[in-house]
This record gives sequence, structure tokens and C-alpha cells, in this order.
Amino acid sequence: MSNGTENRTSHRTSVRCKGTENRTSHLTSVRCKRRSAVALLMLILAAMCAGDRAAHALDDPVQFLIIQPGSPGSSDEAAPLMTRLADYLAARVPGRPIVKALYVNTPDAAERAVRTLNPRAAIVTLPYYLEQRVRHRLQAKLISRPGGRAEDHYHLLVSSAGAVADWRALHGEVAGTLCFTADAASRLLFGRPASLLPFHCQPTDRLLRASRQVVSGELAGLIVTDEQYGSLMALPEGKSLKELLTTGPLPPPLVVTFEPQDGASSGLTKALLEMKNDPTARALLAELRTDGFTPVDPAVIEQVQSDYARAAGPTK
Amino acid sequence: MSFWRRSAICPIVIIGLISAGCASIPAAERPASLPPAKGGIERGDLFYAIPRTPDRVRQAALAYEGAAQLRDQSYRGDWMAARAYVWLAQYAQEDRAQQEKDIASAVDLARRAVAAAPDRAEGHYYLAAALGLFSQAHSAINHLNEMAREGELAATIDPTIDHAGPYRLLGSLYGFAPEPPISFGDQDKGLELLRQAVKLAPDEPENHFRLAQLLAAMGKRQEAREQVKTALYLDSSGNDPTETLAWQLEAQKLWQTIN
Repeated sequence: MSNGTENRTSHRTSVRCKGTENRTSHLTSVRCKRRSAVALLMLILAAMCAGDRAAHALDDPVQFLIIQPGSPGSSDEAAPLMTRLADYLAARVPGRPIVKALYVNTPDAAERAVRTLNPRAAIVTLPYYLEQRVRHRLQAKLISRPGGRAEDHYHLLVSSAGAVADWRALHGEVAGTLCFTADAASRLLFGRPASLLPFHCQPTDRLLRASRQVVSGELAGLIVTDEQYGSLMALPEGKSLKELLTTGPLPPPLVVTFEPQDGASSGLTKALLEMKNDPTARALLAELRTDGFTPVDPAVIEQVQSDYARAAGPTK
Repeated sequence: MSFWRRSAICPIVIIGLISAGCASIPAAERPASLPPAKGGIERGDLFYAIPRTPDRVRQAALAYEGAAQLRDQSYRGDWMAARAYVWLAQYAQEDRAQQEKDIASAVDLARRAVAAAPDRAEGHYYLAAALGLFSQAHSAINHLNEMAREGELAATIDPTIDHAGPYRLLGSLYGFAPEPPISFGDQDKGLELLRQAVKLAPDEPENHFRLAQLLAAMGKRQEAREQVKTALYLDSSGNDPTETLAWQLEAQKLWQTIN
């Protein structure tokens, strides 16, 4: 019924205009000409707006992110370093666009940045990549090589005075920077999601303090990366800790790009890749605490993605 | 010893840096040689008197530098000038370029003071403070080790200067610096040092406030609230209003976050 009405109305309108072409009524003719003019104007405006949007997109700064959940500091504190990084990249991305870099160290801040800033590329931790890969359509392009290492391991540390010999016997809280992305860290280290662990994975950016709490029994354990493990074991606190579990080799932090892939994302990736061969980039790399970036091994990434997916736990 | 009354070091809350940021301290851009000036210390003290203003403190710095050209006043002139530049870098709200110059001057003069009298605390203390400001301005941590070393030397030689300033400075440094593997931050150690500062100079409001900051960061909100209340309750009328206002604004923000 309603369809019929719409059709009739449409037909009437059409007839009127067509009729105008044939009739000599000046008034009707003017009305239809006005209508056509308005339509034409709207088309022109629409075209202009589209052109405006395209121009605006070209003028938009190219956004680069460093997403390191659990790392210390704040975006403001890291701003001077981010400015140096952005300036370096801007000079090397084709077209020399304005590049902006932002450091975020919580998953919430990362989510806000990804949603609002339209980033083209980012350096992210492996757990962040695994948790957000599908959602944000991340493409792993490069690995960062902190200390020259091409791989990382995650370790579970407990008090050496304790009698626990199996992680399944742990209860209470296990802490670590990796717990900021607890689900992925849990899947990689324990082969199951965080929700199925017998303990709570408690985020902390204070590992030294947490290690003392492990020794005193306040915490059940500590989850650390290779770099964190090395530094803790070099301290007196390390003598009171023992390793209960470790992962196989894992990729270190990754450089990822966001969809849609464009010149900016590939330009950023290329500039990062070439940093290790650029003597002027040495200070910046040191500040970023890496020896440089190298291409990802797709087989390694696929394997870790597959391990992560397999550890999703029982499906409902 | 009126010059110790709030002498400009609010302990620097050292940034938790993501990186092992490195930056070099530029050479200080000051007149190569100021004319030696007798009475420069006294003139400097007059300009540095409370309430301080950027113009007056800059005059004080120049007066102290002039005094430092005299052999018998070089140590005092240098560390007092360094103190003035630290104040300027912290409170003058100049542009970034001027702030960097002031920091570089403070570092340079404090180093000269340390070289002139390594067994005195002031040079070490203001060198530590200036290095902290530099680290903060550049998000760089490559000078934090030296900052800690100088602060510890000052604390060992005379922890009472600037109302337990060395403990206050070291407490905030250890409490807020990134922990290993990035740096040497250690909240427990920072807490111990700030408690020592409060014990040594309980009438200094800022000691309580800095302790409150760290307590809050460690999740000890109840004790942090008590320390903020104590800090705001204590008499600050003898302190420099600019410095007092700066930490009291921070204290108000902290109070809102822990209540």
C-alpha cells in the first residue's frame, strides 16, 4: 500500500516536471528551473565538500604510535622524545608530511589513540598485537631488536624459598607489566586465557617492588620479559627468585601498520627499517632502546598467532 | 643562614621515562667573565630575598657570579649562582630556550663549586638539582646516575641543607625514576629517604608533600592524605610564595586524586 503511494507521488512529480517542459506556463517553468538549479548547486557543493575532505586528508598529520602497555612514564613526559622521532620520520617519508608521534602505555589510552587519531603505523608489544590484531586490522611489518635480540621469552618467577613447583599450584596474585595485556601474556606463557588461570594477573609497572613482594609472600609470582628478567636477576632481589616457567622464543615488539595501507604507512615502515643503517639515527635508536628494526619473519608471526588462537580455551 | 629558607629546590619528580633517553648538556651561555665584585654575595642575597621574582633572581645570579670571581668567595658565589639559576629554570616560566640556558648555567656553576670544594654539600646538592631539571626538560635519563651520586654526596656531607633537601631530592628521585631495567628507581628506597627528610625537617611542609606524593603512587592513600594535610597545615609564610604556590597547587591536585 505504502509502496503504491510512494510510486504514485513519484510519478506525479515526474509528470509535473515533464509537463512543464511541454507547457508554456512561465511560473511552472521557473519553479522547475529553480528546482534543477538547486539540485545542481547541491551537486556542486557535494563535489566541493568531497574535494575539501580529500585536501584535508592530505594535510592531516601522519600519526605514529608507540603502544607499550606497562612501560613507565606518560605521554606528556615522553613528548620531547616523540617530537624527535616524529621529526626524524617526517624527513624520510615521501612527500615530507607532518608526522606526529605519541607514546601511550595503557590499553585504554591505546584504544583512544587508535580510535581517534587514525594512526598509520605503531610500535607495539607482542601481546598488544595479538589482542588487537583482528579488531584493528594490524599488519606486522618489522620487529624491534632491543639490545640486538631478535627474540624474547616470557618468564614466571616465584620465591626461591617457596615449595611451589608447578604454576598450577599458584594462587592469589601474579604481577607484571605483561599483565596490562593479561590475556595474550597468559595464552603465550600458560597456554590458556587469563580467565582460566588459578591466580589473578595483576598489572604493575613497578617490578622491583613487585619482586620484593614475591619474596615476602605478598605476591605469588612475577611475569617478566627477557630484558626485565636479566635486570632483576642482576639485583640482590634476584637471588631470592627462581624461574618456574618460560616460553619458547617469541617475537620482540613489532612495528605494525593499520588499514588501509597507504603511502604514509609504508613510508614510516621503510624509514624505521633504514634507521639501523643511518648514523644520524643512532641516538634516537638508543633513546627508543633498540638496535634497530628488521623485517618480520612471516612464519614466526603466523606460528605465534596460531599458538595464541589455539590457547583461547574451550569454546562455549 | 636566612638564605636556606626555601632555597628553591623542590625535589624534582623525575619522569618515568620510556627510554634510555640521552641528551647532552649544552655549554652555558653566560658572559665569559664577569667583573669581580666585592659585596656580590650580599647584593645577591638582597635580590634573592623573599618574595622572589624572576627579574630579581636573575640579578641575584649575576651578583653571585661576580662574587665568584673573587678567590675567597668563589665557592659561595658559584653555588649560590647555581641555586639562583635552578630557581629560574623551575619557576621563571621563561621560554624553553631561556630555561635551557638557565639549566646549563646551573650545571656549569654547580660543577665549578664541586671542583672548588668537593667536601662541601651545597655544590653537590645544586648540581644534582640542576641535572634533575635537565633530565626532566629533555626526557633523558643519562644524567640520572650522576644526579643520584651528587645527591648522595650532599646527603652524606650535610643532609640538613635546604631543610633536608638532599633526602627530599633523593627520595623523589628513587621514588619516581623508572625501575630496572630502564633506570634505578626504587620506591621502597625513595620512601625511606623521604621519611628521613620528614624526620630531619618536620617543619618543612614540602617534605610532607613529597612524601605524600610517593605514598599515593605506592597506593598508600590513607597515609598520603595525612601527609598532604600536614603539609598544608604547616606554616609556609616564611617561604617564597612562588615556590609555595607551585607545590600547593600540586598538593591540591593530589588531594583530589586520593580522596
